[in-house]
Amino acid sequence: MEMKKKAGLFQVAASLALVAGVAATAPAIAHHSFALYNMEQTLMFTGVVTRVNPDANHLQIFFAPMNEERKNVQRGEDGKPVIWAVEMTGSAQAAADGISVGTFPPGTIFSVGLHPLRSGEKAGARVNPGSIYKCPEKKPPAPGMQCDSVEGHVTIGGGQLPGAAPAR
Amino acid sequence: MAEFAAWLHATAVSQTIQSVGWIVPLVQCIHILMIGIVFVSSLMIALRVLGRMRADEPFELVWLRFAPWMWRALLVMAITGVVLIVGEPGREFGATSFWVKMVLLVVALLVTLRLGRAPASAAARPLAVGLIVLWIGVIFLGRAIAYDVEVWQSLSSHT
Amino acid sequence: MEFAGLVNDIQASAIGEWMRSSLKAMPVVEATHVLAATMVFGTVLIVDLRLLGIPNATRAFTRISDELLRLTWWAFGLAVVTGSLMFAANANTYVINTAFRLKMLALLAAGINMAIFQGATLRGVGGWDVGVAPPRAARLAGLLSILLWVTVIMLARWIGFTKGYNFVVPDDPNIKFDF
Repeated sequence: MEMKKKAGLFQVAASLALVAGVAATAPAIAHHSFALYNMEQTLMFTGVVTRVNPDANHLQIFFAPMNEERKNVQRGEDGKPVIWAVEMTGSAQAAADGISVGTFPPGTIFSVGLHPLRSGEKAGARVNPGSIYKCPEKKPPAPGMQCDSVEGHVTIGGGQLPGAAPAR
Repeated sequence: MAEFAAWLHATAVSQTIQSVGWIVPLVQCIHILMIGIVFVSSLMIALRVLGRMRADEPFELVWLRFAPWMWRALLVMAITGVVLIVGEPGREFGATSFWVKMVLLVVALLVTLRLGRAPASAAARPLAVGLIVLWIGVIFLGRAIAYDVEVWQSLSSHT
Repeated sequence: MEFAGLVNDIQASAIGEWMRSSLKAMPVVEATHVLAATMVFGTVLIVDLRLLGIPNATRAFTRISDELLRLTWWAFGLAVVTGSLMFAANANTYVINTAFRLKMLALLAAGINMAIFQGATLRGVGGWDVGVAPPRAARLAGLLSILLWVTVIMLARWIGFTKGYNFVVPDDPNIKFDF
């Protein structure tokens, strides 16, 4: 009987902990899943890939934008790279276009145009139609330029450099 | 249809559903739980017609046990479904999967009503098999709405 | 660190690569996963409600559980296979997702609840199999099972809304940022 009581208590406690856990994660979703992108604004980046999230619904490339001199990346007050993310079609569609974990390993330099989130978070949707340009390995473009100017670059998606927004 | 979707999208109700982040996930959860009840209740009724479940009980008893749960869960499922449509009308109306799903849903309901009225008719057994297949189809297409181009390619009404 | 390596190997596997790059694989696998999950929930619910005396206790509990849990296990197996395939496609993202971690915990709790019920409570089933209300321990197991499976499904859906834009994932320390 004593055993059973303990088991019962464990069951109740475990369930309550889980419900609390669900409640705790709830606010986290509020801020970007449905955030709208500002389609009127286009930001142009040349950055260094830090990670690819090969999400089935929306693949995301996380990257550190390069500075104007293209010698290093933009850094925050703590000296750490500022990280942005660009979201596009699902991983399968993206793979068909040549964008995957394998083709965009960490360290890859690329140029992309994105429509930023209205929330102000450092993320946005890939400008489409519009090309993504991959620089040759470890060869950043000249100051103020994008990867399309570097000899040996790879063009993804037919089209041109998206937007005429000031380079970042 | 696209105009109607655009109008619906601009309504205050739709804007609220879109902007309050937890509404869609929560409503989807309820929608899926209700599908569990509707699907398995229908499965029990269909399997009884086929003599594969509760064969020791008369059909009427099995119907009385599961049909009320099925109808009530179906009602909640329909309400939550409408909320999801109002929240993202373009996504739903623009998906081939959505329209095929609605057709299968209506057929499944007609088949259920028919089974309830005439469980011993000659057509009952094929209808019971059909009911199971229809619900599997409805569930598949529900998830496939998110992948309309991948699933339907040139038949997709997206793009 | 070894765990992270294993997770990375799973993601880098041929199956993970296929799940990521095939246009049809993910929709089919996800839809099957939903189908399996609804079937697990629906069948378990009937058994759990019977423990709570809903709608009544006229049909023997063992009979209900025997005829339904077969379906439950088939569906659960299907859910595990399809779930593993989805996991392989993006393992590194799932393991750091809070909803995913909680879902695994909820599954574990549901398993423990079931084990306690099957191992201890069910031994005395002869006394309450038919016609009488099940003992408190059995009712508790039924109620918890319903709550836990609802939690599993809700967390599962939550994963879909929280798996993107995770900026807290640690980056590869070897990335070269200066040129």
